[in-house]
Amino acid sequence: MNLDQMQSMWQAHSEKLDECMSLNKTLLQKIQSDGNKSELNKLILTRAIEGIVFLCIVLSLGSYMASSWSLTAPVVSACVLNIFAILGLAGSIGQVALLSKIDFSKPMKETLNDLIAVRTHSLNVFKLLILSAPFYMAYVFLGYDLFFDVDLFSLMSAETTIRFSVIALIFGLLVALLINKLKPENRDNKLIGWLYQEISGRRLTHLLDQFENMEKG
Amino acid sequence: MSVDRHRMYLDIIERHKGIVFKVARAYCSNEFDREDLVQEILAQIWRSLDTYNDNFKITTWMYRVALNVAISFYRKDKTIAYKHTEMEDKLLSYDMEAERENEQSLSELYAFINGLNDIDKAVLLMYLEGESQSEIATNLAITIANVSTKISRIKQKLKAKAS
Repeated sequence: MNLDQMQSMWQAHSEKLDECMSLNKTLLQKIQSDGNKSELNKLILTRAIEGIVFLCIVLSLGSYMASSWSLTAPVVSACVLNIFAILGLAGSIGQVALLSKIDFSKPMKETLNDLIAVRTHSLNVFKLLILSAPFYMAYVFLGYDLFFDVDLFSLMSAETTIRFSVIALIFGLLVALLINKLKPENRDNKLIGWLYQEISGRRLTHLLDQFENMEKG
Repeated sequence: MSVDRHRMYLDIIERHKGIVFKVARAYCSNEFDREDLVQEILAQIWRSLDTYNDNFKITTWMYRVALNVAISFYRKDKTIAYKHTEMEDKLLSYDMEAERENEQSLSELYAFINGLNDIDKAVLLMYLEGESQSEIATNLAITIANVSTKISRIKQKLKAKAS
């Protein structure tokens, strides 16, 4: 079969399709009335809910800091965690804005670029949020103060403080290494590849590569 | 929801449902995935309806939306048959009997399309639909020379397959 024969067959197929296909209008109306069921709307909704959660955390931490303002470990911890919560909130708002801008009636390459922008933004937010890992003790200090009304830091011996500081430093190095490795060219690494697939969308990146290679060639 | 918009949507889908079916069949060989893709395309057509203007043929515009959804949202190798217990609840039903005499060649045609990469699939579908190379280039945001190269390569693949 050559391309012309294929085209004739396709035209015949298209004409026949109109006769032998039926549309379930009840289901179609359900799709219209329940737009949230589309993948894109589900994503926007998820990001919006994440944003609301981050906003609640920011407000709660802000209220805690205002009510117990002093230079103590729990308040400093709340301050540090609030910075990351604000980053998370900004990230969620950015995601909602980028996702809402996606227009599937644009030319294919432009739509792909918009989708890649969403994924890149999501990857950058992820990188910023994992920077909170070295500050893991902030959660512990704040938790002890909230649940037991105890300033754990003031009770810790110098030796324990050093031990936790060393662990935080190791976490910091690991996070810095991970962020440094989180690049498209390192996708052959199992962990990086998996993270990329989850956050950045391997298929979309691959498609955009196809477009770019096509232009170079 | 405006009554006019609703009526326009139903009318467009009713008249051009074949496009949705063809794109879904070209991008999904699995029936369950195909139904998911059909739903997503129809939902995005509804969402994008306001962006339609008379500068485009409605079929070109529908192809754009359907192909963009197919290449971006649909995930291949999704074996989620458990999600669909009732396949009778299909948006687009297709009477296979009506095309029985051509089914063998049609299956081969779709198998060939399925074997292409996502961008080649898009080029071939629009080419088969009778779109000009310049229209295909505009729809993909690539150059006419690239479209021409793609079509030549598809021809070579087809020739190689035949021989």
